Amino acid sequence: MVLRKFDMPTTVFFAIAVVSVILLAYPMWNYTRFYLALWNIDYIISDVSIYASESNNIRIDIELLVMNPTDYSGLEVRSSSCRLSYIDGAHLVQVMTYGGSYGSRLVWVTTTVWDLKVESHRLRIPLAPNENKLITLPFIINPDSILQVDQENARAFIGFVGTEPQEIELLLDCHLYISSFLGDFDAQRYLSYSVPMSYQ
Amino acid sequence: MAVTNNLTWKKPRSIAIVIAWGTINASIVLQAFLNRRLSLEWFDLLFLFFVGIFAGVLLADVKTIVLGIFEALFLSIGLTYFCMILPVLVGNVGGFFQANVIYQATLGYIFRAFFPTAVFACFLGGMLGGFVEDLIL
Repeated sequence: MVLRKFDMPTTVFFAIAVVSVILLAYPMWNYTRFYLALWNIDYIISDVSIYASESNNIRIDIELLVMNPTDYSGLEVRSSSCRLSYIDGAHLVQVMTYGGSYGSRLVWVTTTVWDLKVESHRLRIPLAPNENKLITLPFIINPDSILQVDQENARAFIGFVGTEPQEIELLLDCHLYISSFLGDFDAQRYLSYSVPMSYQ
Repeated sequence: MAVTNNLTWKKPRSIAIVIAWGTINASIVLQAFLNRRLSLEWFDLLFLFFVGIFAGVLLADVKTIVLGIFEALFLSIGLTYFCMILPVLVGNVGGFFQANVIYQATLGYIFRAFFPTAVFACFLGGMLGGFVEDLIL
């Protein structure tokens, strides 16, 4: 009744407003699940493969299962930055301690965790609603690496594999960067996985 | 009688145009926010400009247009803010997101999106619409 009192251009303008609201309905419904999706996104190590090559390199493929259990669409795994370590015999490492009456200082601690490699990967993998995606993160353990720390870590790991352990317990300090319209979010997890080993 | 009717319906018509203008502006900004990133591209500003021209032509009177620009902007900022905090209002936020952080962050996003280019595009469009109405119609 009210619209009938208005002229044609006003009615058209009002109709444009109504259409714009209708077009906004799905993005808004989707957005109401945005924070829940960021909260619920999770990942685990689903599989690890270790390959030894002729050139003394070891390639460790870590397969992550990334889960988006919500209805939200619009997230993308943009990149990853992960530190791979493994469990071996006890050794001493220097660790920076923070706070306390002494302030920050370097101290020696005994640990069985050996650093192996830090790798970053560009991924760009979209996460659809209620979708589980497999992501493979390759780590190349190269004793001829340019970085001295990587060389030493690789030689220590090759020495450890040479002792033919029944299984290798890998630790992954992983940062997955989830891209959204609000920017990138860091989903950090500490994951561990035991790889049963067989030797020929 | 016809004149009386016209005068009676002039104010509701202006109010309807301003409400529609504010709603369209808010939906342009929200579409940009939710489908891309938190910034307006040149074509979003062009849309705001053309909607402003349309609204300016409809409002016609300069005084009504200037008032309408402020009212429409106020409405569109309010609607955008309401929509952006909707997940908090319906309780759909995860454990590490605090409501007041989302409220404050949303204010920042909206301020950056609207000021100054979007406000300028609306103002310029509205005023140009008024002049077009004066010259042509």
